[in-house]
Amino acid sequence: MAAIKTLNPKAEVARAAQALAINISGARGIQDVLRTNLGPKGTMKMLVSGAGDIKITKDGNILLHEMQIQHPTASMIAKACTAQDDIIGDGTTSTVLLIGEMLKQADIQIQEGLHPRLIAEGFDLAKVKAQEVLEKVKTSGDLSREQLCQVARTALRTKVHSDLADKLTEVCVDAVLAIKKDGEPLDLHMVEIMEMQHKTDMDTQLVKGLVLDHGGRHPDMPKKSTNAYILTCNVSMEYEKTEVNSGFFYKSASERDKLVSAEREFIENRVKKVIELKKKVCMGNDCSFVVINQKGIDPMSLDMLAKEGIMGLRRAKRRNMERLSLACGGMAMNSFDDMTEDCLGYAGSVYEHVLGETKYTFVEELKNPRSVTILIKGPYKHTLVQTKDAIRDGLRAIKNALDDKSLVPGAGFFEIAAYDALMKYESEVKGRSRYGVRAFADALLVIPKTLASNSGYDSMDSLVKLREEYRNGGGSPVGLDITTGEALNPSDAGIYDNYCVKKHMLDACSVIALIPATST
Amino acid sequence: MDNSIRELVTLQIGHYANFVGTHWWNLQESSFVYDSPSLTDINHDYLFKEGLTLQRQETYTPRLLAIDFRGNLHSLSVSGSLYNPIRPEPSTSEALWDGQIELIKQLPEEKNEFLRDLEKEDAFHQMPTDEDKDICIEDVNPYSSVSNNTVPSSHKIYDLSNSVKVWSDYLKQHLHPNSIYLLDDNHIAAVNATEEGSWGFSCGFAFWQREEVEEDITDRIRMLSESCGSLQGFQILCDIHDGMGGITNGILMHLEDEYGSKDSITFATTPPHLAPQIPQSRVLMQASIVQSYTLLSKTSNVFLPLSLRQSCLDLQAAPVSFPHILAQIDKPYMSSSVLASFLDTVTLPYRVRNETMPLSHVIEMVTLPGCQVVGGSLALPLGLTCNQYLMEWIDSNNYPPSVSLTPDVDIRLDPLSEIQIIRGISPSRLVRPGTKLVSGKQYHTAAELYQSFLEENYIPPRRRVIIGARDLLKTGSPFPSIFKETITEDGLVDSSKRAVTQVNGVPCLAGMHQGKGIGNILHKLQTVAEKLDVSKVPRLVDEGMDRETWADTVEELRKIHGNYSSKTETESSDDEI
Repeated sequence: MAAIKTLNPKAEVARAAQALAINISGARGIQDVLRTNLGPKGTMKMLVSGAGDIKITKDGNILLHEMQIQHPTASMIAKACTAQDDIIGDGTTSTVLLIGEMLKQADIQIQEGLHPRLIAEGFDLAKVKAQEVLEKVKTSGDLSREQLCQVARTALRTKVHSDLADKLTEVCVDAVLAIKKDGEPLDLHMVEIMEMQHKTDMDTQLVKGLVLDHGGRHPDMPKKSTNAYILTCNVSMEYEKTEVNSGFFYKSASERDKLVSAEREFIENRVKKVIELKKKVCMGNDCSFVVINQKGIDPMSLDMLAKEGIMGLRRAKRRNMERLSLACGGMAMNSFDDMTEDCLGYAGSVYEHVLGETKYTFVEELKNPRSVTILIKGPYKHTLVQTKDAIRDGLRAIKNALDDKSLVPGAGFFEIAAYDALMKYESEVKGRSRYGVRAFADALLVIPKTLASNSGYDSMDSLVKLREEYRNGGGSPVGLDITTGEALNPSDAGIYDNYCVKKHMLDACSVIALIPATST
Repeated sequence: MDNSIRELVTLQIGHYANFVGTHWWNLQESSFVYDSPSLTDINHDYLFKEGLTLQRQETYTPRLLAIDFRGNLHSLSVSGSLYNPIRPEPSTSEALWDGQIELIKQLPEEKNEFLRDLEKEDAFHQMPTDEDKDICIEDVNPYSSVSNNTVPSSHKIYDLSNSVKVWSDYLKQHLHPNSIYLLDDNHIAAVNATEEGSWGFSCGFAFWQREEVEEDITDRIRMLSESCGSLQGFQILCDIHDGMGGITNGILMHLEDEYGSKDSITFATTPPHLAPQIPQSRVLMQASIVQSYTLLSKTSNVFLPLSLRQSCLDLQAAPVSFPHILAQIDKPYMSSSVLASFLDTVTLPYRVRNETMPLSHVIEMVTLPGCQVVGGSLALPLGLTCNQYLMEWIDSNNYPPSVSLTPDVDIRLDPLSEIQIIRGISPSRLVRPGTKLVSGKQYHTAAELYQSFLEENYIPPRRRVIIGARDLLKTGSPFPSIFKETITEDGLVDSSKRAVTQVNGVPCLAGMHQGKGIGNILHKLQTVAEKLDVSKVPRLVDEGMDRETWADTVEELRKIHGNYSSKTETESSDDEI
């Protein structure tokens, strides 16, 4: 009797074949749900909650989360997806499909009497072989801008419609190239993503500078500054509580006022230092001055700044401090003592844009911006979110490509190539575990098959064409043309996938698929 | 813009905290006075902000960030309907996709009678004021028949005690679209975090450390504080019986780091209705409470635990009883309303119109260095009878007349300092006309009278502030009917009355207390904490808790307790070293 029964008498226990059947049905279940999502012709899902919240997505990971999964195997697969999404940022749908298919293939063999252990062995062998194939088919050498565009476009076309995908491709690649520094790891945080709910999605653009979601909080502050010196700082310009402010430390109201004014003067001196610096650097030229503070600026200080024509922004994002010095130059100041002109950054134009109650401040026309902003526009909240998700994935795809320094031709090419190699390899494998290798090979084909059926073609028909083309082509890349259902060369068509996505997919699938299959 | 406004940002963290918070905002909204501000003593600009929608409509919304789990909102949309009107039929053409689009719709959540009426009222106000249209609408709109003498929903009596499942079921306010932040329970290791007691403090803190969670929450706090001219601090309402305590700890650490000069006051709530059956969950819950008391009182300027349970760790303990409130108020919708009444009253010192007391003064009054845990008390309603004057009421009562809302704390025990707030007594009800007052004194407000009484009778403590406000606590719908049948419409006691009526407003008294009594609760916690062997509780181990960390927590608790005994000793007897 299972030990769990002593702990929880109500626990349901399933054994051997029965347990396997349950496991496999769970995996197949979520595979069926996600099947239609795969590829640029997949079905977009528009989820409307009971309260009217709208979510538009076809991302495998998000959909799995929206479904409240109870099935233990299914929820394990969902967790594997989350892990993949956290690490790589893409490829979750393929992973789910592959896991489901592997279990299905394994099931066929197990029905024939093959022990799950042997299948596990075969899967392991096949995985190693498939990774060898992956190493062989990947491109090498430095990636050109064009190649980065191709991998980004491939990823983006599965998230938004093709016009927008092409637009976002340019935006994402330019953004990454702007912040890329040779010899240093890429920090995607230096690409700020900002949303504005107006106009249409096609107005989404790259701002070679920064967009802040707040503005000057004073009616007389300039709304636009040109040739601006930028002071980024983390110094409070707010009246603060003093240490001795309670009623026990002073006897009369006038004494209290004295304390208050002393404190006030302290803050005023800080503001005066900024004004002094402004006067010094803007003397005799047409330059202006902008203060961007991480801490607060209270109305009285704002008033002082406004009188001098200084634009003052308070409570900037912590990360924007770093971004600002990368974008405009200068450095973030923690104190106003010993400030010199060198501490200041420069921007050709700083201006404010008001949308409802939100003010946006654009810092543009920079000399050499190492931090940029992608400004998303769209008429509805949910379209903004959809675009934002797509941009995230696009950026990740480019980052992955740069990290891997290689790409894999897409459109199902890797799966076809691996299948072919595995079928040859099968005969070399000794013993019954070769059936595991075959199951693995068969399972890989689910990707091109689903791509074809989602595009409206007969999946077996397309598969035959692809395999023939591959064999005749002598190893040159072959993929599925989703517009015609025929074979094409993905390298020529510019369809590329990330190397790490495929690699992670192989790792995850072979491990996850084994757990339900063997733990019975 | 009024420069003298010193804003506060409110954070509500946890499901029960949101129950309390919702009641509180409802109470505040019902005390709005639109035409003549001279009738009220409360300045709402401290907690509310003005805004503008994209449709150029002016709004007035709380400066609030409410954190809860996904799925706990039911019929309320995350971003609310104020800025983005909910369209009943979303069109698939809005999706940015040229292929197939599948529309998957959940059944609309059912709304209770109260929400339906609110919606009708909203629709009525949003109707264009065009004269012609008004006439056409007249026939179809069920509301227009009463439009001249509209019955606002606060005058209608609802019985929501059975229909309320979540706090959004009785939320009267429209919130700003950025006010609600929902956590995704998929990221929590425990299978189902919404299940009671299945995630603890450490788990919550780990959750906070996820990059996207921390970034989203801190950014929303930043946006709220950016809109404040001279922010004075944060009021935090949090659950401490589960992982929300850990999230609060993360947020408080962030506040300390980023807004170091700002004050914070934490009201820590534990729901009285939760009593997990599984021993593991019970221990997990107790451990979370211990950790919250220890860590949150370190990072916050004031830590005020609130619960209707008599004991903070004994999860089976009986609820506290109030002389004029029904005994059966264990449902969250009802129990939270009592805590909300306390909050609405106790926060008056820093949001009254005249003689406002800055939050930093409040904090200084009720805390000592190292002693941030503070007790709260409430007398709801005050207990004034129909033909009694305040003077007589004070004379007839034992001091203090209020009930402690902080479990395990006896506020009468060696008090050191206190702030009491008395509200809702009109100046005409202070002293019976014709009564001879000592030395020809005259009282203008209830606070004056109460203060001088306490001083003349040398009732401890010596450090005391009494604040008053004329405004009653407005208990119209959706405030639950929790009062006994002897309470009249105006919140007075009439012992001959037999029928339950809708109570529109009540006078009440609330207080914050510092004293030796607080030490007891810490001592109790310490005893329990010392006995707990972490390695025997798999749930705790799963969350990453180990013996050393727990020993540190216990040590820290001992230190805080030590502060209490030493401080209170030296203060009370001067000859001790």
